[in-house]
Amino acid sequence: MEAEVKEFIVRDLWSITAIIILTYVFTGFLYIVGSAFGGSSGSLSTSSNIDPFAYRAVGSSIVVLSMMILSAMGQYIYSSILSGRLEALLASPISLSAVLVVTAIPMMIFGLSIFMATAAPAIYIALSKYGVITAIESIAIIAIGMIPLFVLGFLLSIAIAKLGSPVILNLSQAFIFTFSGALYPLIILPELLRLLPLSLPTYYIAEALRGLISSESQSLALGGVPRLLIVTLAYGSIGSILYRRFSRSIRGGVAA
Amino acid sequence: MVLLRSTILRSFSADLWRGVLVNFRGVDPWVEMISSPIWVLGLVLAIASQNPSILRDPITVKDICWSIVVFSMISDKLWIVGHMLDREKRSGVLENILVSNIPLSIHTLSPIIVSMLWSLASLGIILITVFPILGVNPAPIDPVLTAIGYILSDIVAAGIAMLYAPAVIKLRRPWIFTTFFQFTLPLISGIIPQSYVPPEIRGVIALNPLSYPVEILRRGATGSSYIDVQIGEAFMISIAGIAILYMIGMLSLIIARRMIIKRGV
Amino acid sequence: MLAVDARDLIKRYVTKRRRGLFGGEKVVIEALKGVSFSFEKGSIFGLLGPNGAGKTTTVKILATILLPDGGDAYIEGFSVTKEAHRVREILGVVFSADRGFYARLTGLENLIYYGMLYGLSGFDARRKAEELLDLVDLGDSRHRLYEEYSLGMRARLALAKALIHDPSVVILDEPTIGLDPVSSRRIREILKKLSREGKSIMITTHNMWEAEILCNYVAVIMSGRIVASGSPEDLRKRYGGQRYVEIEVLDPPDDLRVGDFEVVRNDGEIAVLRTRSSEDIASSIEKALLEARSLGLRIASIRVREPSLEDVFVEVVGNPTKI
Repeated sequence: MEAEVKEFIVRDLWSITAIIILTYVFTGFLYIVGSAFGGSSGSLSTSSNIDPFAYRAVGSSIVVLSMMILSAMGQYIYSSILSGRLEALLASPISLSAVLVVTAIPMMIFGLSIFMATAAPAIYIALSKYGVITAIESIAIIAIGMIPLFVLGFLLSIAIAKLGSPVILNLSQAFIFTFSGALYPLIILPELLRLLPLSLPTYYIAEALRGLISSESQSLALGGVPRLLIVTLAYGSIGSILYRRFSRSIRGGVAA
Repeated sequence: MVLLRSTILRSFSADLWRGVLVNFRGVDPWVEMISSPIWVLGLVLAIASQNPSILRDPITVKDICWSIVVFSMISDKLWIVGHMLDREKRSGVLENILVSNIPLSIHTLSPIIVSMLWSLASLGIILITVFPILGVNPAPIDPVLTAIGYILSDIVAAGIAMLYAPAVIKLRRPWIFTTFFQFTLPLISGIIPQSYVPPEIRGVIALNPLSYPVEILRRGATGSSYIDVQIGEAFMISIAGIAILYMIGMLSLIIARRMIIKRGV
Repeated sequence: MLAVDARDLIKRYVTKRRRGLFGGEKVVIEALKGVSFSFEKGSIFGLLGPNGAGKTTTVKILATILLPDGGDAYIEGFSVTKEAHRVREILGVVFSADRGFYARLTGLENLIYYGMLYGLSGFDARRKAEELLDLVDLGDSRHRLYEEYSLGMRARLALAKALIHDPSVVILDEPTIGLDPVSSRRIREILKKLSREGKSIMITTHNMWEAEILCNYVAVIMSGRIVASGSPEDLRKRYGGQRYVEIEVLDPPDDLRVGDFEVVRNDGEIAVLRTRSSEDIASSIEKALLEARSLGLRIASIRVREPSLEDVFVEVVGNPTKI
């Protein structure tokens, strides 16, 4: 496992660096265009006092991370079917769930590193304002938050495998991007559409993080962490039910 | 000469026919197209969140929407036209194209038209979905000027992508550069008011051939003016920009073909 | 007239061998080191060699999509370096059996497209495409998308595409690799038919048996050089070694020994015995039969095993694991 992670990182170091830089480019794009139209002193949130750039850094890094996980997990089963790897996995003594977990672990390490690099402004605020524990808590929030993201990616993967085409990947990434609840406050959305971010884990990750670093209190603030844990449990339960159904159906026959 | 011209025309029409079939056949392309307005909505809201009160100003929101339409147009060109040769190299098609006598420059022209059709279809969907959701009237102030500006912008953006295409084949991870340009090129193409831009960047915007058709598009669509230039002047600069861009683009593709043949596909 | 005349082709690739995260050194790979061969119009020529020998590089140079660093080649008298335009008009190429087409177009649409690229009108391209699809037994699948085609179907479509502009010379790079026996046989039949019609064919392969039954003339390439060339018959005589007489006997004893015979196999039910044959095959066979009968062996069959092109290849290339 250690060797795989090492090889993964060395081989893809340029890609990792690029993703970090591009996330800042994206954040900068939003900040520049937003400032050009709305002024640089505009307040991003009606309910918290947070530096706009840090707000955007948190939002952008959550969105980039989500889209990366969706893309990687979403194509996993479909590409395994096409390449014949799934049949080899099913025939092996290792369970499919073990394989999925083992695949997810390097991605989680990778994702955490990317998050720390891309949300550095926010983590710096947490560190300087409240100390190491709060900074560590912010990283722990993203680590917990990745679990429902992986489940979401897995659900997408099943859908793509059933449809036999990865076309809905772009559509789902557009959906996550727009309705993540991480890039802007919910209040900006038309009322009818506000339910959408509430169904996605990205909203709760963003709320937990922003609540943590914008709190006026110096004591350990839990903010949106309890809600994030509930969402994680809910997604985990849905994921395990669907996984059991899926693994039964896939052993019934793998269609290329 | 007549035979050469008829072969080129025939090849061009074959590529156009092929491009339309490949990019518009079946359900998949339409599902992809539905994602365009969702991306646009997300970007507009993320931008507006800098100062949410501007969402109550339909003129500003309309300006932002058209800026993102231009962003979307540039993205389409970079990914569809810019990566065309790379896609064909990976699928083995490029070898078959090289072994025929069709020049790469002609082969690239028809995907430009196809990508313009794609952007136009996306624009239609955006106008009837995103604009009403945000409470904005999609009707442009001057439809003729808007159409002229849109078409010229699309042609220039495609020309820039055509210049980029030969580089994409050589890069190991072209998606990195394309994503970078996707966000930076619109910023220097007049999508934000010049008053916000530092003087050095204003110089870059003035030199960018894409800035002028975008200005024509904006004045027609919203009546706003971001660059200090007369419409007639902007039009002439756009035409000159197109001529220069495409000449350089064709030349770069001729050179690219020679380099590919020297080093191998 | 020569269909293809390659003279001293040289090709070098410069690549980078990576070391760690940032380091790397330039490496020059000499893919071709002076390759020369030729064959007559209307014949079928085979370029044989192991993986990495330089077959595909040679094909790409002949196809005018790769410039040699030295030497030149002529396709029916036209230089691939100086008259590439003319070469492309008379040359059809199959680079890969399973790539090179648009997945979302049907087989028919793909062929019409390529036909029009070669200057055919839409009408002519369609007519020719329909004809070729029937020739390669894809008539019933003409309206199916390329992405739905099996490997065998893709290989046949690739051959049809190479013929769309009625070239006089056709080059195929490993046309039957990965195909089932039925598809492979069909492709070989089509190539033989094309050769009878006067087209010049060149194939690259490392399937010796296929080269043996198809080619009038072969060359063996190894590490960028031609190491042997001639007709299959010539090569067998020069490099293939001896003929053998082989006898199959039933119910052999465990300790079977027969004169000069080598026991190739003995599983208790059937044994195969082999001895070198002299120039006079009839007397070698007679001698073998007499020896076997004198020991009371029950003879099931007798055959003369000729040296094969595979024997030639192994002898010339030197290491069978390289194939």
